[in-house]
Amino acid sequence: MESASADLEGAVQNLQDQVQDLLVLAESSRRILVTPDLEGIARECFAALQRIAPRAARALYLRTEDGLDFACQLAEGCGVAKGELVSVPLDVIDWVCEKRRHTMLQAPDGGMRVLLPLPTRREVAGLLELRMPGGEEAFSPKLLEELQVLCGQTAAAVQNVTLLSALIRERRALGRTSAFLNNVLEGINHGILALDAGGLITVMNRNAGSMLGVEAAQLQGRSYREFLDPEAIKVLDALVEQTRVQGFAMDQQMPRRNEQGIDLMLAVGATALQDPEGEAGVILVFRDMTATKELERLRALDQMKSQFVSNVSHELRTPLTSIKAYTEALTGMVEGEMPQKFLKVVDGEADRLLGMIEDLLNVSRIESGKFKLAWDAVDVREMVESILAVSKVQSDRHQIVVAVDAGVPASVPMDQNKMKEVLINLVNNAVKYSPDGGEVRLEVRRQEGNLRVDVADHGMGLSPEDQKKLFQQFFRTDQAQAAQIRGTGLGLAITKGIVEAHGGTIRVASEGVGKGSTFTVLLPIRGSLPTS
Amino acid sequence: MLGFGKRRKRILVAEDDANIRNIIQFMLEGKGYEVLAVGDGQAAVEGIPRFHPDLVMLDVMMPKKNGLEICYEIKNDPKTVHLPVLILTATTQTSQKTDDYWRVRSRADDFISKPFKSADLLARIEKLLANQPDKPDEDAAKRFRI
Repeated sequence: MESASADLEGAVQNLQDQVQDLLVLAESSRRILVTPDLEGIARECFAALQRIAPRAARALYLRTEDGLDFACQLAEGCGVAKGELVSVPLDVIDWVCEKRRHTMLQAPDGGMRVLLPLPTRREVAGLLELRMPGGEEAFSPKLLEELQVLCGQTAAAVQNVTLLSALIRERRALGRTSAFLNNVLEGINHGILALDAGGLITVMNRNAGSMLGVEAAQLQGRSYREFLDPEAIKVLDALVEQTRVQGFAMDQQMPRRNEQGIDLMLAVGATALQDPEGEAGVILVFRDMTATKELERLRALDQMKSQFVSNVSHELRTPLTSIKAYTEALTGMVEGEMPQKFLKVVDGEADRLLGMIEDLLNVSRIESGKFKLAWDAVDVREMVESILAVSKVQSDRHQIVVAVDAGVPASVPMDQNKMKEVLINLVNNAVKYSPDGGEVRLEVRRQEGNLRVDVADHGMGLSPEDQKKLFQQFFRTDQAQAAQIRGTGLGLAITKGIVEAHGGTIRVASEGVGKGSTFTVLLPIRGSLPTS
Repeated sequence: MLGFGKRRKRILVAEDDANIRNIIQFMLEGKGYEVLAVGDGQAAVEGIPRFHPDLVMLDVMMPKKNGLEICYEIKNDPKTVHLPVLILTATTQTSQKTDDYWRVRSRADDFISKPFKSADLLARIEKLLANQPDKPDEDAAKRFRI
């Protein structure tokens, strides 16, 4: 009776203990499950362990990010640092993970260690290690059972936190992507308007809003028919319909007046919007063609100008032809020094006019890009020699010295007539702008891959400011004008145009006014004749 | 004096600018040529079968018919294919490309550009005529047959 009562008492005590333990576990579970981070989960887990196995040293290992190993999250009393990998043979870990059951091992210090899996539905999320002095009996079946429950709860909590943080990460990345895409959408300087299958607006960027004169942000889920005028609706309806049927549509013109009251010419294109779920919409792209139109107009104007210059030159040549022919006829008819002298002036001035017309034409041609080179293999020596025979180059008061270096190739690809024009112009200038006479040197040599031409004079020279402006159209120096040296200010602009068309460069050097000038042309020596 | 059966060489000049037309006529007649000067392309085309020129001088830009077109027709007609044609151009380099095309297409015998020197013009004409055999004066022959 006594013993039975003691047994009963013991059993009751035992049950009470178990209930107490279960209550502790239940409370721990609740707290573990609501803990939002791994650190906290480990602490809650250890708090429970403190109650059910107060004497045990413990370590909680969680799966590393790569999923290949287990690293310590929290340890108490077993000298394992956070982040340290579990120090159990790999085959033991594999066994625990595979069987999802605990195992007992001899501890290095002679005690016992038990390794428990933290099992989740898919995998083992971590390991719990406990160490106690003594043999296997240190871990009672009851304790092991409680430990398994604790491990199960901890595993569930760990899994929750892991999933949650993955979700948060993804969400953040998605937010970043969406913000990025939004920036792209707003950054495009075209108007973008996306419609769903029902024709309602799903996306509209600010540009589309300002082009259509509406507030883009307020129009999601509405139809463009609600706010556009009938003309625009007609254009868009046709585009949308065409896109639905054909999958694309040719750009349409759409005149609009924007918020500031400026008339715009929009080009609207449409493409079908594909959705994996099969809901097809339409993307409308609005491009502002106003600037393009303006460019077209300017280009047409420029072309008109070139055509005009060309026509005018042609028209100017006809009366000049008459003047020259009649002057010539008269020259053969009249006698006397004075009349002959006068007729010579008339003829000379007609020639001057012709030269100016040709210069104007050349400038207009260079400007309009209609400048075509007739490439040929040119004998440079012969060309340079031939220049001396040209009357524009000849002078009684100047010594014109020509030197062609032996290193100059026998022939160089260039447009013979145009380059000859360049050399004549440079030598003619050297003569013209050194009114006191002196030496004019024309030197040609090879400089690396270039043909180098220097034309040097001892003439009136150039100030540094004038050197900068010298190749501009119609530019003339004050000195030249003061000295009443005639010129249109086009010669060097044309010369530069010709040299640059050859891929070359031209520059001028002068020590200053009164100190002469040197013009240097560098012309790349091409290996073969370019095809024109 | 020209010998019997020979006649003065005839030149048809087509140029729409009256001043240029007149001075050319003046130059040519001064050298003893017989000249028919006309002011447009149509008159030039009609003048050829009536005037029987030994040489035709055509301006390019003319009303009614372009000189190069007329030349093209002359050179594609077996009756006139051997008739020398001198084209008078006010070619600017801008129109060079189309001109180059027509130079080949028109098969003109020579070109002279405005403004020209009378000596140059006369030299070209003499050269073109020298290549032509002297033709009997058909008109005179007809007259004598009566």
